Amino acid sequence: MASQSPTTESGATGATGASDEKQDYLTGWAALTRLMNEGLSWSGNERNVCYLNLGDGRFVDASFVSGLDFADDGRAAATVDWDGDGDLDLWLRNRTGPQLRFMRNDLPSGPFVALRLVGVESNRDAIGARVQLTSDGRTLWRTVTAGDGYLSQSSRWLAFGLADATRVDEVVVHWPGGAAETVTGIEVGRRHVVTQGRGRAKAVEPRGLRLAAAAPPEAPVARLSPVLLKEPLGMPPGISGLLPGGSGRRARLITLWAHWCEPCLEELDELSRGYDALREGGIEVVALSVDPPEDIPLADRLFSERILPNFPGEPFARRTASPEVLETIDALLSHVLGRHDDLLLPTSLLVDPVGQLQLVYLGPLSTERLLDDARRWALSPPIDASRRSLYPGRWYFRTPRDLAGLAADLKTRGREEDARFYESLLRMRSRVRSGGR
Amino acid sequence: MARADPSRDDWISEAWQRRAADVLDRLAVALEGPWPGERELAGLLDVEARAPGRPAVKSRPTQLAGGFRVQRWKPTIGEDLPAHEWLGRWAARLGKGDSNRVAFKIVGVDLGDGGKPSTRVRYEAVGRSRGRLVQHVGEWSVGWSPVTAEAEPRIVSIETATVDEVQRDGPLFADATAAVLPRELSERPELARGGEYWYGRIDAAGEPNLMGHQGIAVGDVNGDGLEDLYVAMGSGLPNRLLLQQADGSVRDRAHEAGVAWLDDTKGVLLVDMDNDGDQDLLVAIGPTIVLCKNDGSGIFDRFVSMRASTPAAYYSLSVSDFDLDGDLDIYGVRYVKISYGVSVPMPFHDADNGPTNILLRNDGKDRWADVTEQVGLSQNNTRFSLIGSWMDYDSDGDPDLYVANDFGRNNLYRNDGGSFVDVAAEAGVEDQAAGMGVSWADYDEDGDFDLHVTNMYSAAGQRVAYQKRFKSATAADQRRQIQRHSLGDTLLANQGDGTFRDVSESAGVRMGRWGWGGRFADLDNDGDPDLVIPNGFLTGALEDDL
Repeated sequence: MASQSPTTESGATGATGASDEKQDYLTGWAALTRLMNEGLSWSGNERNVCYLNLGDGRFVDASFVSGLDFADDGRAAATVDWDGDGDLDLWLRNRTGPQLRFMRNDLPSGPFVALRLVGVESNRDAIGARVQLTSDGRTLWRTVTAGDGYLSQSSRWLAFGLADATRVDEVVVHWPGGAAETVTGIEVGRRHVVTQGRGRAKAVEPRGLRLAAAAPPEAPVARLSPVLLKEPLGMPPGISGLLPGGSGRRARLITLWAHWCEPCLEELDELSRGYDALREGGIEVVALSVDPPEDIPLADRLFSERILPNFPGEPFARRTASPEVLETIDALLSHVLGRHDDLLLPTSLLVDPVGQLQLVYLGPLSTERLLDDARRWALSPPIDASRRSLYPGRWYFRTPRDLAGLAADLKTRGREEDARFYESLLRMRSRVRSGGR
Repeated sequence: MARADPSRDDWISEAWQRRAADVLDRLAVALEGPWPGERELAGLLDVEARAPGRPAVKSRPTQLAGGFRVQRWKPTIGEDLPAHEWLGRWAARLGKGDSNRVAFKIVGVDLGDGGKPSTRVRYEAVGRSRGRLVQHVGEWSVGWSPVTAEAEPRIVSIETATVDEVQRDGPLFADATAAVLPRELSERPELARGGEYWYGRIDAAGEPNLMGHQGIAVGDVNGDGLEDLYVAMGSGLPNRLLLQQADGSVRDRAHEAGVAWLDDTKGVLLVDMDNDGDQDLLVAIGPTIVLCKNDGSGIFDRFVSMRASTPAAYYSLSVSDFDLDGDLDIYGVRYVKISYGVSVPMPFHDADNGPTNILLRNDGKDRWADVTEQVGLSQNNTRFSLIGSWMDYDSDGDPDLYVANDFGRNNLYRNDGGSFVDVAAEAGVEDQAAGMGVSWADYDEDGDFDLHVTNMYSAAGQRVAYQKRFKSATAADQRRQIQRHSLGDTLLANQGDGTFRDVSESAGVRMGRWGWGGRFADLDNDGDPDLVIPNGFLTGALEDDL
């Protein structure tokens, strides 16, 4: 945001030109947003911070010594005595991978008290209760919350570290909306359940648990990123024109390659060797070269030498992508992936027998994977839209694709016919919606 | 804030400080090795560079609970030493390990009118000495050679301000993620990779983004006495319900439990919303809060959707029985009307063009009423809010509500028997800055709850905002407000009379970087709450521009 933000909605600050200032500000945000989408680091690689309370009103930075100073993009932290040893462990939620860390507190065992409150008149979870615990002349206050920090909820067990105190003098619970209640039966070094109105706490069996220290494994390097479409997408004339005619009830894989792309050639080698199995499995492959015209002879030669001999029978259909077709593909990829700069090769599109795009693959695809995916997503009756995912899970909401945005993008790229295809899909969609229910 | 090219924009100080920062980066590398000699430092220091000798006052070390040893070094005075010699001694205090890490950050620049420039430099230096972890955090005042277009800046003098030293035999926390998450879970790219990876590998129809605003909630979902964890995930990746086993490890049962939602999920809570003795689940999906009702065994079999009337997405959720009728009500905050970057805050330092936050009153039997307006929570309710946190700060028996807002002032809604008044200004807790997180605790043990607000600490913002040229045409108080924006976190001490005192500076807790969910927690079991602040905005493939 760039520079100097306007100080009022109208941007009027006197000396400087008001609308210019506002325009600069908006331009700054737009530039920043673009940079973020392109992968800009912005206050990235920052280490988590931890301060120790010195007990005299001051804190000291102990980030490194705490062991918590990961350079993750940290968002949320939740406390819980996960292993039941009397000190607070932490779950950390990150934007970066690993998205989740469990941090075991390695404090040597010392005096503590842990309480879980159960409301009877008050809300059952006792959210909002405040507890004062007096020990050795100190009074410690804790409260039960649900939702604080940021996007996080810690354990409702209240933890009282007692430094070196050996006994608890008094515990008073201030129940939300209820009276204050003095609770007896609290023992140092134990966990207790305190039920509203009982007056006496109930100790819980201790839990001796020793978890190993073990950092999460490195993320495996994935060469292939399959992207299943949340909702299938009809292919416009620019793409369907590439598909071999008369393919009947077959799924089609369009794989984009170039002569200089070794992973592409590896993929073509793999798919050509498995082509009998693929055809048997109801899949046809179209190898779409994205080489410029002057490189086509070279691409042809490479294909003939390295790929063609692998086919026992009829080889793949082969096409060459015109700049116009590449524009359409680029628009489709931007629409599906949201964030898309340069075409990554190989990229493949799995189209089902009725011409709907089901999956996009970034990276080299194996025959086995293709067979599995085609069977599940392209050649079987459509499954419940809420379950369209490569991972076990369900969509709660259906959000329709932004076909208007796609059509507009195609138009700006001069792909009028393909744009009209999506405009007509849009019209059909609204007709179904208005007539359907 | 972000600037594509400071030199082009004529921010001379920023352009110069970049070159000075390069020199400091090289100095850091030299100091990370043991005993830097004159040779490693040549080119960075002026031949005449001096630094004052020994620290004059060294406080007595304090032994804290949990095995921490803390020592505070006061400013150095006394005879001058050649700077390279002084730096050698300085580095030796870190020990001779090969894992030493030194980082400098320029937090203030004074170009000195035609004379010698000087910088305030914050440093963090860590290492291992005699088997102990050692951490130094302090500030130098560094004098530099005169500014010229050609010559590289050289250090002429170094003076130190207070230095905090903390030692411990080993880290207090150990990463035990892999002991808790089974391998088939922790290695999966869904968890192993972050938002930067996934955005661009998920169908955009599910509206993924790269910001990483997905939360976590702890609670005992299946009533076995062991705490479990629900993990919100970004669009296209299933949320996780991690049920703790007797050995402390977890099994993901989200799918079986009916809550493996694929939609982009932000705030999540595990709470008993119907007082039937089990933990229900609240998830924020876009502008909808979904109440997933627990059947008592850890299976969620009924779902109640509460959709806001405008499309802005919910961020943090929090619950409280605001009307003290015995059941829990929901407060959901919203951040941007459309999306970050598209919904531009106006004006930047006091934006009031955001979406509304909503209070949903629990009327029993799965009936919910939006009572935001009715109870007075419409005041100052068009901010860029990230969390609302409940606390009876005035100890009058009903829960009050503090809301952290980005790009401007925060709200403190005092609960007067079920209706609210925003008293942030009179209570002294407006804290006009980049509010991201809220945590309450009695950090000073005086019997009331104090307030920690996670904000944004940006060295770049501080440098630029304090240059004379910055917003020179703007009224002084607005200038101060904008300067405040990047100053960092805030600690507000409850004075017990309905007002708070800002003690951030004296408590020494400003620096929390680009923080989010900072929270109090007694990490060393000595009874007083410490602070942990997860932070960092966007780590991307491209170099940081700031």
